[in-house]
Amino acid sequence: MVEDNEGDILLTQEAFEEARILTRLSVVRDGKEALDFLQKQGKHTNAEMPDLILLDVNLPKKNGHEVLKYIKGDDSLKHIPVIMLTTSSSPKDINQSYNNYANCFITKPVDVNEFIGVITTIENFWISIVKLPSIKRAP
Amino acid sequence: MNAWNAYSNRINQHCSGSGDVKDIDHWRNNLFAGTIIYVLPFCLIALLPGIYFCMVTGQYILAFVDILTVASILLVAFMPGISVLVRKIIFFSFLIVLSCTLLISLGLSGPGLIYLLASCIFSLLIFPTKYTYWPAWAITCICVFFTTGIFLNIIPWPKRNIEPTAEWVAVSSNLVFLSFLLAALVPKLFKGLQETLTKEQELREALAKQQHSLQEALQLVQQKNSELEQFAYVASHDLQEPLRMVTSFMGMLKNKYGGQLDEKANTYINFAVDGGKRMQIMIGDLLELSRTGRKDAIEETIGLGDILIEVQQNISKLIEENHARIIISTPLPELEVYRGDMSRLLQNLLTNAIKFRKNGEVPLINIAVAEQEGMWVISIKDNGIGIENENLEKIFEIFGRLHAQDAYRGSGIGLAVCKKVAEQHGGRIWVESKEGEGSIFNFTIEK
Repeated sequence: MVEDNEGDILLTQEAFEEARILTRLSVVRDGKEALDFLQKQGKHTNAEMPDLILLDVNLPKKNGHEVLKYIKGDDSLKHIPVIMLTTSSSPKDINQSYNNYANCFITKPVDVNEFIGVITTIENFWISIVKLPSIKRAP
Repeated sequence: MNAWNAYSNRINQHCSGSGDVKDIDHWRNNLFAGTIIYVLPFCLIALLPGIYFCMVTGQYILAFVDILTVASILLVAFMPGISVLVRKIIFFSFLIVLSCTLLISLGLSGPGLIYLLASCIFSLLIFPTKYTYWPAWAITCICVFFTTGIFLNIIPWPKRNIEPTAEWVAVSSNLVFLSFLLAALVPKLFKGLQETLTKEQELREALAKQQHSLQEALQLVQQKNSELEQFAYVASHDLQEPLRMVTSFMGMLKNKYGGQLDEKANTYINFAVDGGKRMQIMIGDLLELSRTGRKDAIEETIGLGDILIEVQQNISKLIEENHARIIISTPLPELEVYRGDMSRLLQNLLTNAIKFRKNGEVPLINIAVAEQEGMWVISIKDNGIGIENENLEKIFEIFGRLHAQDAYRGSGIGLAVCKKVAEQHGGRIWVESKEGEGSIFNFTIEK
């Protein structure tokens, strides 16, 4: 999860706990750290390749669009589903995300129960229903 | 033609100077240059018969002065390095010399007097106003000189049945009179012209200045407007984040600890969550208003029917819940519109028509389109609660609301968006309504 808002991090963590699907949630707090995490650089040398990425748009250092573009342009990363999870509902952000091959775009609901519902749905769909690729690294 | 252009350009260069267009002297110089341009070919043509006549009658002096005058005009036209004023003086002097020679050689029967008058008129036209009386005085002096010459028999004068001096004085006094008359009148004409020119120039400057300041004001308004839109967009966008935190954690508090709190505490939380949600709606609507009519949108041709289908799908839940019936009573045209904005307008109007329904009555909405003076008039009629007469305008203002939040929810921005969209399409929006008898919302868009 790439998210700089502590409140959202907490909410997401609690929602994951409630859903009780076996998952490990790693959190990075800005765009640059996200890239470090994926490239196993800096303090993330032991990072594991994620199965799913939740990506905010408004992030410090490098914004979500830049991170997305990097992921989808990298042969060893582009298979990872990226879910844009953001406050924004602007058509500009939505179009730009899909143009950069985001797997889906979700506007964070205001209502906390709806938010938890969204997180649960994401888990259900992307982890239980969907079959994800087994490759961890491109050949 | 090229040779003529080169010729007149050369003379213009020498004789026009580089005066200001708004100054009358510029036009005097212009006239002088024009005179020289046309006099030169014509006097060459006139010279040949003149010299022939002189040779036949033995007027050798006159022939010499004729040639001298043509030479002087050539000098005025082509000699570089002398000022326009000097050129004018040379031209004028040789005209006078020619006139006097003509007078001496041919007497009153020759063109001498006419040449004198002509030189007077020319000089009035081409010399600056401060020299106005100089030609008249010059002519007076010449006339006195001739009178003396004739009286003393220095100038040979043909004897007719009248005494030569008396004859000359009688004729030449008319010339002097005419010269002074012209000297008095012509400058008046020029003064008037100068005033007109100055006034025109002033007007032109004032107009340019006004245009400039108008342009500046327009630019400022446009800039402020786009700044304001940008501000509304950023503000409403960034406001959402903290607001979501407030409502979310209030919700979490209620979810997790609601059971441990008493009823009052739960009521407080409910109010906080409710307020947050209302604010969220307002911010969303503000965002929508600021997005409406953005410059990057493109107009497209689309059937009104297609937009209506899309809108009804968007609000299908609302329509079903209220069992609303939407009837389309006229054929629907193709429109040239900003699709997103137009569907927002229609969605807001339809939502209102359902939201403000009469208690216990099924909402019945009638959509009709008419054509009027190059515009489409689109009417949406409902059987709702209607609007008081005094509020018919107020509802289109931003945050203009008529009901308490607990009666009808809303931010008071929806109809402001509609107004903006209608205006964006070159039209307007208005409502006809009677309280308790439903409303008809009409808007026009350019065809």
